[in-house]
Amino acid sequence: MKYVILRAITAVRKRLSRNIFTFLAISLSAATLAALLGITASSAAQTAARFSQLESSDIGVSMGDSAWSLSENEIRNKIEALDNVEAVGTLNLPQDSSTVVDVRSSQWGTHLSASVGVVTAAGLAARGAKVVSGVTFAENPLADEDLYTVMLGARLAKELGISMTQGKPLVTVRGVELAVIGIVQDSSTQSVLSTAVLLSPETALRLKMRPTSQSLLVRVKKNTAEAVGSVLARVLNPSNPGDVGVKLPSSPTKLRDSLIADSQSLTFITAGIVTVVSAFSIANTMQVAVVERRKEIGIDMALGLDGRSVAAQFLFESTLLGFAGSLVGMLCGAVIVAGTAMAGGWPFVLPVYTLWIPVFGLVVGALAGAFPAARAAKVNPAELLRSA
Amino acid sequence: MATNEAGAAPESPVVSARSAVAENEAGAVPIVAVEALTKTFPPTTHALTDVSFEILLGQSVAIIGKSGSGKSTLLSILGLLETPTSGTYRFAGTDTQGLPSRRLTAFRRDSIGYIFQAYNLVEYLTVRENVLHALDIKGIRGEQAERIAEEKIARVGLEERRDAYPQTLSGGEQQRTAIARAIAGAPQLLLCNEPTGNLDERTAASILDLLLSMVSPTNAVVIVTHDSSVAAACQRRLVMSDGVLTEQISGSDSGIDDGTDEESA
Repeated sequence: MKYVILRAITAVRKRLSRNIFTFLAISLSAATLAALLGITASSAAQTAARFSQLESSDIGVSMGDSAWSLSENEIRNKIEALDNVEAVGTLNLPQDSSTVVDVRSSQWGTHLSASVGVVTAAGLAARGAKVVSGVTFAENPLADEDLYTVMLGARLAKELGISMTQGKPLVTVRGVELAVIGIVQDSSTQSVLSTAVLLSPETALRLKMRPTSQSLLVRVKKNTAEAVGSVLARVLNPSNPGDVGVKLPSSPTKLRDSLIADSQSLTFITAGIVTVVSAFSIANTMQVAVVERRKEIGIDMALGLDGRSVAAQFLFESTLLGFAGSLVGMLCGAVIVAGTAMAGGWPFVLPVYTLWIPVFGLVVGALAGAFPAARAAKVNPAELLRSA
Repeated sequence: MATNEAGAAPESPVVSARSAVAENEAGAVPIVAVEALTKTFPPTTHALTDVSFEILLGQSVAIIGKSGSGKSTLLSILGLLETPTSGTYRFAGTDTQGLPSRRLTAFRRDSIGYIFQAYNLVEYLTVRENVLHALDIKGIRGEQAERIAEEKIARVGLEERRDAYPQTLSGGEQQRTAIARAIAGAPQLLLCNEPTGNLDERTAASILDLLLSMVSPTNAVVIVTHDSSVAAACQRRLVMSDGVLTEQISGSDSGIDDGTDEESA
């Protein structure tokens, strides 16, 4: 065995110029494989991180019309007493009310269609919306003037030509003049409030635009939505929790897992193709080697080497090529993954099973070399005497 | 020119193949004894027909004949690289018929050496490595192998070229390397296939001298050749024609019609 191994190593070493391209092809394949596995894993981690950022922790709660008669503070106190609740407030989003009105700037005469949201200052805060100028309903400076007040989404205000530097800007909605007290920018991940007319529940009631059900937004800590959501209805209406609707945020975990699985499937298909190409490359090289070295094989057999040893030598050569090529390729692939991760700002992740690539290369080398090795063992040394 | 150290009795210049076998029955066990040997390559090529002869240790034997006369096939059978279709071949007293390939390989490894017309050295191994390679196959390694390799390389006069690769050697040097490789395992039977066929006259003569100097009481040298001068230098000559052993000639004699053609030069 030792002789066979030494002979194979010598043959690979001494025939380096003939083996180098196969070695490079295997290395390239292994590097591609390692890079694909590593980049897939790294990008999966990045994808997961991004999905995690997108993951909402907002719970929607809807209560019947009678809830409007309750104090918002009373409702908030009940909910905020629960663990993991960060903020609560009334937020009837425009898409929920489906009410669209014509909004006209009293000053400029410009007008646009806009949807209507019914919100409180607490609701805006829970949503993460920012008052970019003016004040919220809670700080309404005109409360004593018995005026109808309104807040406008930032984009709507801009298109109407309204800003809070214009003194007391007014808009007309359904024939009623409303004082604009603030301009709102929706939260960083959403935009619906930025194009809406936002009314306080009181103003909405006066304009007969208050929704029949009251919606609340409950913002909770990450990964606690399900736990909080499960007790909300009972807390808000202990006698009849079924009257309280609780809408948990949709989880992107399944989508994320599906995307990652798709990506991994693609990687494994590519890896399979790369492996087959490498195997053919090794098989081809060994076939050529057998043809080129028929004389050498014949001499060895004439000198007393048996067919099994000849086959073992060629088998070991192909195995050595597969192992060494894939080892170097794996290391190169790891460097590529590190570089790509560094450039993309991803975490560097190299799956542990990447370390199996050289072993895999060894097995592929052995399988690819099996047929040429069997052919080598069948060389008839008598041909040497006939030809030379 | 080397002499026969076996001290075989003088023979008449021409004897029949059958009588040669009978003559040797009284002596030592021959290293090679073939009787009624035939070899047929399907479908109808009769390479050898009813060939019988013996070779004793200490003899140098030339096998001569025209191209296609069956010389190389006979050498392949003597070297246990091919098996006869019928007849018997006893190597060192052992009937080789029906022996498993493992045993035949062992005979080749331990008792037979080959020298080819085209040298057939391993091109990526040096002179020394080629000899070591043969020893390695025979299971001789380490210091012992190194010592034997040095000794055999010195025997063929290539001490200065021991680390040279075959492609940098002259034809004569390559054949000397092949001889060193062939004798590394101290074979009982040294088979040479046209060993001087690729060499100029002067180099051929020196190679022939070297080969015949290898003959000793412990071995025999068989040379397949077209060259009548090479054949004449051997103690015995087996003349082949159309697969039949037509004559066995003993003693040095260059004036015999050996059936070779002019292309053999």
